Amino acid sequence: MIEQTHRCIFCGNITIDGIQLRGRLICSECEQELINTQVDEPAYQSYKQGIKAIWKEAITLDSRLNE
Amino acid sequence: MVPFLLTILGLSLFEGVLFLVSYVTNNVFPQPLSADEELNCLKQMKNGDQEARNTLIEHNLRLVAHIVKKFENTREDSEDLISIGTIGLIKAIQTFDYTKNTRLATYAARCIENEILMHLRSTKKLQGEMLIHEPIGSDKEGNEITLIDILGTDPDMVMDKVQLTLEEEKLYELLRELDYRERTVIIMRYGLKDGEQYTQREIAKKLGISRSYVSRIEKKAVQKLAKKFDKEKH
Repeated sequence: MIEQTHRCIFCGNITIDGIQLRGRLICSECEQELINTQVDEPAYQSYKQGIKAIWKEAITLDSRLNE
Repeated sequence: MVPFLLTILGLSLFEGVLFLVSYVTNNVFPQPLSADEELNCLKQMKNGDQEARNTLIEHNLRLVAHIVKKFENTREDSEDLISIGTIGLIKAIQTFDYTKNTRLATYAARCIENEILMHLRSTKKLQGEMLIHEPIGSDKEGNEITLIDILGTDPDMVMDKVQLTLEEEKLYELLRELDYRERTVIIMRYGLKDGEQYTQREIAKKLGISRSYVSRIEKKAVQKLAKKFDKEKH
């Protein structure tokens, strides 16, 4: 669990700097890249998919907890 | 990017994805912060407190879902929109300046919406492209209606246009029956000469009379015209 909250979901680097989104980390460097990426750039798709995966995971975990 | 791909693959193994929007609105997410709490977090964030920033993001995720609901009819994948909205929220929190007297929610809502709109524009979904033979519904008897079925000029529109043209001609005719001052006021007020409409004050200045007098002349002239129009009809 410690690793999950300290390993950046995008680059895999272990750090404490960045955003925690639903228990997953986006490190400061990736966050900067994300902020400066325009919607029509190919990298944007990757970021979008990554955040989508975070959401999916959060939903699945929460629904299991509520069972 | 390899760890990232692995994470995505790993996370994709989770099955049974619920509808994201209802998930967010079903009280799973924290309620919005009060104005004081928000300001506190913003100040702490400015001093480098990452926890405060996480709090701000977490407490505004509900806003993302709320805005995504507005785009329900764009046929875009709601999961994609939630993700894009979240990116918009992250950008908003990063660029928000609390000294500018705006609530974060107002600013963030704009950023989230912009992010989604930019995405929709880039995928050309907002250009309203649709096939002319595309079904758009069905009639009372259950027959399919396509876009081409409902395109065309309403016959009433043509009649209205003709009627308006005739009445316009009549108006110009009746204007000649007004006295010079009344005619001038009406022409200037309603832009009958060059399309430019003047205020009562501007007309008053031009005619060298008071604004209230212009108002009275205008009222009287309009009444006269209405009466004349009425007379013509009967």
